[in-house]
Amino acid sequence: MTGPSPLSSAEVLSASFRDPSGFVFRRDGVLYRQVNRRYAEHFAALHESGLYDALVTRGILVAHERVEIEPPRPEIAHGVIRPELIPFISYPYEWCFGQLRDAAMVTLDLQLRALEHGMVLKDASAFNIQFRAGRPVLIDTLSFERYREGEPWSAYRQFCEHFLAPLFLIHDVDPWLGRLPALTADGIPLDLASRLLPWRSRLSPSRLLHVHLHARSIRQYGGLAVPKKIQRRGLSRKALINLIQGLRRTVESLDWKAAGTEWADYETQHGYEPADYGEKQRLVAEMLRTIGPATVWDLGANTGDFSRIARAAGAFVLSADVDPAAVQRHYRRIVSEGETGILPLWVDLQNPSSDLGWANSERDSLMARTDADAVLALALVHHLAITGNVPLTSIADWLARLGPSLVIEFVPKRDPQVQRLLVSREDVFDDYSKEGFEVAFGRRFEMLERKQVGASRRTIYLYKRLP
Amino acid sequence: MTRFMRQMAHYPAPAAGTLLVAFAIFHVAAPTRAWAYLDPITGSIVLQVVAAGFVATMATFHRTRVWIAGLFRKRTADPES
Repeated sequence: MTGPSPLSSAEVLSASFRDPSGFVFRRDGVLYRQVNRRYAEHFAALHESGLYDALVTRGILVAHERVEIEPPRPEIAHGVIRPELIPFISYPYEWCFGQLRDAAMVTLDLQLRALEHGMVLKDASAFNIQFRAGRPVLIDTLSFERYREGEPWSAYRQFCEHFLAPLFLIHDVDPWLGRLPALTADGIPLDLASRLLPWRSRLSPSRLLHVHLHARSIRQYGGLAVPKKIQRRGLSRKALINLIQGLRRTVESLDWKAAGTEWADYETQHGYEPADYGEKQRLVAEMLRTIGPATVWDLGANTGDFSRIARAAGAFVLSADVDPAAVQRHYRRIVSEGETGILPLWVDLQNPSSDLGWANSERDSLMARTDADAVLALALVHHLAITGNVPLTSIADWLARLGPSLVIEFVPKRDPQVQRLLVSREDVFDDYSKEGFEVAFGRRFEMLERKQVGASRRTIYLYKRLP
Repeated sequence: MTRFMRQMAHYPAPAAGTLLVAFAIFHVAAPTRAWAYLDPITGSIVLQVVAAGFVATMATFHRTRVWIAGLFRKRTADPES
């Protein structure tokens, strides 16, 4: 009888199967990437050309080290590398406009740098970009191959579908169209983007070319080979660089003003007197110090005031909010301040990202990525309970799944913010009271602290999950 | 004149100009015959070659405009030098 095969001791990541150049696997809790033989030449060129060093130094490619371990599939393996870890894997449909825009810029920068070193970015999937220390970085080391003179950019369509189409749709139509890639799992098809964009977008050369005519061309040549005339003409290196620079100018010129949505102006509408707001900040900071978490999920984070407090307590903070404008403002704030330990994400907590893609296992749901040591749920429960009609017991069950410690605020019915939610509807929320809240949460948590916030009627609790 | 081009005549000159230039380049560069093998992204390759030409033309216009603007700036600055 033989022992376990290398493959059986490795967990191949479910999202890593499309590219024959290699795949990502986990063994004994450590993340590795197998490089296949068919990619060996390009892998060597990545290093020998100086591209790897240039990109890692610039901070737009994750570093890796070569390791001598048994590959999971030795029959096709060239070697194994151990890539630098990203603290949290997020997906493009969870990013705000600014994050998608910056990810697009980095993708184009990677392509321009690659061309300088005689290589090319062979794919332009937005899923290959992640946020590390607040800035976008490519995580797929095997995305480069040798450039051959005259060859068009094979990832051009993918770039347009993964980046340009959603950016144009958010910019020209509605920010919620940034969620479309969650339906298609592989960018927004250009014919769909073309139909959704307003007619006036045809007056913009970039939208006309890269979306409308591109969609038309794909339709026109569907099932046909590349015409010989186009094959002969090819695309010179200079023309390709011009194209990438043109795309870069287009993306750089896009700006989405994050204002006028429900929560973007929350800082001035949170319903607290300044002294009470200061007291709330002090209480939350004190409770976080008691917990000492390494990772905090700030739910309903708005523009991140309390995420900053969690960050100051030494935690990496995932900062989620439903309002794309609030997330955009938060992201801009992070970039301008050079903050490295907060990741703002656009998440609808009443409908968080689900398992998507092939076999429902290519992209993990938000719940599957849970790793919080502590959860902040400030001024959130009344929205879930009253706007979303979610029972308090269900909210408690859900928060207990997210992390072992919880700092949570209860806003009573008498509070003007809750009255605002009830102004045009019948109050059917008999259980929504401080007592009802404590009973619901007492089923799943042990109360460690309960503090009144200044002169307000609001209460902040520190809870520990029951075993 | 195609139906598309006739329709363009109804639009304001700059808009129609942009569209017609792009449309013309697209159709000149895009033969309609099929060749030997299937390629699901043929349309993207064709458009890319066309787009690169268009972007280069736009860049040339841009550089020319900057150059001309530079001439006027120099003339304005001359009397002070």
